[in-house]
Amino acid sequence: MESLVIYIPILLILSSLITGLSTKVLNNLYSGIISTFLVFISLVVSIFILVEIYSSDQVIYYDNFYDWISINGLNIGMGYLIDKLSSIMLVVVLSISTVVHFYSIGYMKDEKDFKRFFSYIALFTFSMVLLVISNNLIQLFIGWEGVGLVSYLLIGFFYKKQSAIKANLKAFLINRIGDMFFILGIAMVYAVFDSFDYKTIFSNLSITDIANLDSYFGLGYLDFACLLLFLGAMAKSAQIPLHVWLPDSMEGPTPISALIHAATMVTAGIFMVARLSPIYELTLFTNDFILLVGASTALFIGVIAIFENDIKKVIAYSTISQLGYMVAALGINAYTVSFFHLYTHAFFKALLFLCAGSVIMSLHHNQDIRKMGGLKSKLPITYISFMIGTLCIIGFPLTSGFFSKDLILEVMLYDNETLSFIAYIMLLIGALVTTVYSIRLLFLVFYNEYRGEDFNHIREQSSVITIPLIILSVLSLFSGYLIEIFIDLPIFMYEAKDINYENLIAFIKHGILSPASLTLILGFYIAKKLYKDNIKIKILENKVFENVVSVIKSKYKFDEFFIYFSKLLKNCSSFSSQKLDLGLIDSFIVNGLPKKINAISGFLRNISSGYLYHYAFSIVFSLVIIFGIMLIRVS
Amino acid sequence: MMEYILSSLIWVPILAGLLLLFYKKENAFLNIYNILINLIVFLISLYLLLNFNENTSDFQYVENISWIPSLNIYYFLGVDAISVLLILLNTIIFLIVSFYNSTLMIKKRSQYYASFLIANGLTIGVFSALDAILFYIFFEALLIPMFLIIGIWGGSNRIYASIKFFIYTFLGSILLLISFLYINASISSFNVVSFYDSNFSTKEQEWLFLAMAIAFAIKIPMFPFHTWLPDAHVEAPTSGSVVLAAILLKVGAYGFLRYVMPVVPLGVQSLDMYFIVLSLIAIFYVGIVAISQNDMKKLIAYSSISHMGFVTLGFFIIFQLFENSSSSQDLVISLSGSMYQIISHGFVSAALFICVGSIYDRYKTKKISDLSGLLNQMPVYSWFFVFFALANCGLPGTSSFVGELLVIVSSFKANYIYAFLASTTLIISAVYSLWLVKRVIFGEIKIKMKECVDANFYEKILLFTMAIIVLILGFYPDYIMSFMNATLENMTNNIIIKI
Repeated sequence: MESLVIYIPILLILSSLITGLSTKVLNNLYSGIISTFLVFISLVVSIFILVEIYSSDQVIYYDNFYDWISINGLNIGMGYLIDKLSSIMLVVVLSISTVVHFYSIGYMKDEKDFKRFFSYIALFTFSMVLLVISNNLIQLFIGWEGVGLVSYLLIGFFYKKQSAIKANLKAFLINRIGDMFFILGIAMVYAVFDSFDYKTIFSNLSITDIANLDSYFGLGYLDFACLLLFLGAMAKSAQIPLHVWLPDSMEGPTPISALIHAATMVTAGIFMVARLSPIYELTLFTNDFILLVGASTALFIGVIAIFENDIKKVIAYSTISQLGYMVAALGINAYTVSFFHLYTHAFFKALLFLCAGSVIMSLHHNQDIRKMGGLKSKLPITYISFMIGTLCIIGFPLTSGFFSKDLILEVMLYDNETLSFIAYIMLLIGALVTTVYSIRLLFLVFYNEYRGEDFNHIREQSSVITIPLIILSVLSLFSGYLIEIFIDLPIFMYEAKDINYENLIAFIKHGILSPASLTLILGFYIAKKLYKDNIKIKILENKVFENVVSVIKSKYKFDEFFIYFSKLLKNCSSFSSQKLDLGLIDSFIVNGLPKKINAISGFLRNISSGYLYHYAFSIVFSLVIIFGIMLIRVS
Repeated sequence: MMEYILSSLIWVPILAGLLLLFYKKENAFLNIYNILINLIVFLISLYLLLNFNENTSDFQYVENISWIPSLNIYYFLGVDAISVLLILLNTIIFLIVSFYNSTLMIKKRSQYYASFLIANGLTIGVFSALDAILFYIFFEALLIPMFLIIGIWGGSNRIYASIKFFIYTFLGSILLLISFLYINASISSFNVVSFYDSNFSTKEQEWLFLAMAIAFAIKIPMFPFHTWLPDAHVEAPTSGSVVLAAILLKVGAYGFLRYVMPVVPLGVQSLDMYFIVLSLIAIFYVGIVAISQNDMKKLIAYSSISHMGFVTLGFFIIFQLFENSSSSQDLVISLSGSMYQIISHGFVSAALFICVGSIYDRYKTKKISDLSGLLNQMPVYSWFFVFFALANCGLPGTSSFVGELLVIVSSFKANYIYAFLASTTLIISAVYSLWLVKRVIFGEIKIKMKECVDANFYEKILLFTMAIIVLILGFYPDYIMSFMNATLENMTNNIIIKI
């Protein structure tokens, strides 16, 4: 079974090349079908691998496909390390990719660049697979940048739109800020372990006293390295303040938002930390930092979603907020819990996005929820799927989101530290916020009267669109029951953190009786009053509250900060270019020196004029001076 | 034939070029002749590579003939792995250029081709000469065809640019000659191998280092000796820019590796701090300067300088690496990174200049503000442009990533501040490359061309070949890494013994 691993990346790159390079040979529909089929086969392979990995307890596939660099003192391979963590991730990525491939055949059918689109998503899946199965940091980074690249290309898919090409540049550059820290983190890890390989790094972790090594700014060495790596993850997984690219990334086609900007790529940061959890276990400061970043992202970005009117952007903000939950769980070393949420979230968030895509298609590319409403009767399948997605994200009992979100809150509470308690409170409020914006979206889109134009012509989309919705609905509803797999998921060779978990029934009982249920009810009540019954609540209309709302609506001015920063960079650049490079170095020194020399030589040229009286004068003049000096010396 | 393989590599193109100078007619024969000669040279260099024994660090294919015995000057040729790789880079680039040239409208075509052929031979001479004076002669003679290419076939301000280029580089060369003469005065030999065995005091080494370093720093060019390059690039014809960026800059880097680091290591060691700072300024500051350029060629020229900063950074950190870890492996890795950056930059910058040249041929402008939305009109060409722009910002999977990664990783071991400053290139290079792409390739079209102007057959083949090379180098760097390992190990050992 191990030998099958290589077929997954090969099939995917093949799919990308076939659709990308077959300009006239294949028509759009066939290339879409071939591409979907190839991804589906790799999904089947990955399921085989998953089953094999789970059939025995200590199986880990580990090998190199080939040596990337192999010289004395430096061995980097392109290879794979497949354990329970990466095999689950592989199946998640490939299954959502397959569904999105299928959905895109319908969604993109009228696009001129249909094949380019399929080539991109296959390339994306390839890069993501490379990242997931990697056995060393360099391959991880190659995949990491690869998914960033495809995200860049896909956000700018409609390259004539100024907003799209601005958004993709922004996304790439913000990710590059993270990557800079990430590569420094890699360099730092390499500097002490002399290897990029996970196995070598983890096995050297215990035999040396690296944990006690000091580094810069009073941090421990590993603390600092992990902090740098996490800064990279913050850009990729859209954490404050590097989250600004994700809402803008909604410029891309909707299936992409589902695949890349919700389910898979943005979770790469969480996967990376989970993968490197043996190192992260040993950090102190970084863990607290991760916890705080995660919790504040979950709460503060979630709030923005309540006031957003673009259907995709609401879901985008909710993605950032949910990523915050995962990150917060990483901060208390509950990697498996975080990974569990990643897994359930992948399904229901992809579902929500694909539903949004279906709505947008039916409304002829209207994304403004103020012009929607009452679509319940017109789009029944989309409505039910969206309902299921919403129930999952708010953590309605017995749906998948209930299990994963409750587990995060549970471990946060049982961590017994001040910081994690603060984080718990923030996440709890975050759950309330989640309920409010999700229910609001549901009401505004599907209930009350339709507020747009042309209600009678709205129709449910064809089965290419609805079948993926049904598949994802089923997955979203039931994926949570695999909770026990995740509870004791060993990450590589380390044991999972002890989690207070007895059995499924007890967990459900406990979950329903927890404060989270209270937030659910409260959130539902508020949302219903405000957005379904349109009742004005007095408290919400006073001055203080309005100020708070205006701060939230400004999105905390993060965008303005980055715009200011880029203007600064531009000004810096023109100043250095004009004043320093051309002015000082080139004009003053490089061309200035020859001019000085020219001036001196001009003077000398004038002296040697060829006139006898000039020479006679200079002879007499010099003689006077010489004699003068001699006279002074004598006296 | 086997013994004279290097001589034939040098003299076949030079003689073929000289012959062409007297050919006045313009016809298809010229193109075929030109491509054929370059192809032959390429095949010989390929033969050189394939028959090279990379497990030893000795010079191979050695030719040693006494030339001017009274002055200890020999016609001494030989190659190690570094030279072989650079010769191959050289012949590939000239082959590509010869293909590219045959698609263009050029005045005085035969003389144009002759200049390139002669430049080809001379560069091979630079990379294979093992006698300092012979090296110097090739090094200097190389200026002549480049001077003519810029001065005759260049843009509107070509006279200023070519004279600046000539005088600037010539100035440095004089210092180089003086240093060679000084070394000869003490060891009475111009042989590079005996240079390596020389023993000068630290003070002497410092002065020798400074003199030689200025010569090579101008050629690379390092900050602050870089201002001739943007001017030269802007005025040079496209093929001239390609050769300038892909080959000529590398001559400076090669000079450091061959004549500076192993010859005067003590001098380098005591002054390395200054040159590390200059390299970091090149990476950071010159990269920032590149952002606001409005002329595409200037932008790429500045980005070249910035990328060459990685090459010199990889060279000069090795002494601090040695102090920190005292194992030679780190040094080899750092030098490998630099060498890889040299090779990679050769292809990426060459391809970018060809891309810009193609735009200029069609739209008669290189100004970014004049262009927009080329993707609408020339999709194939545009995707190549995007690809090479991404390669220029060091995207993993392309060749540029390997060199940058190894240098950043090594510089972290030397000092984390170096690594921090060097890694800013991830952001800065992405800013200037992709902002360029955004303005030129994406968006709505600004200038409308009537006929279909997408990449023609030749351009497609050329750009495709280069893209494949960049990808192969990015996905399978091991071949080149292992190839030059023995040579670089030997070189570091030579350096370590003396410090």
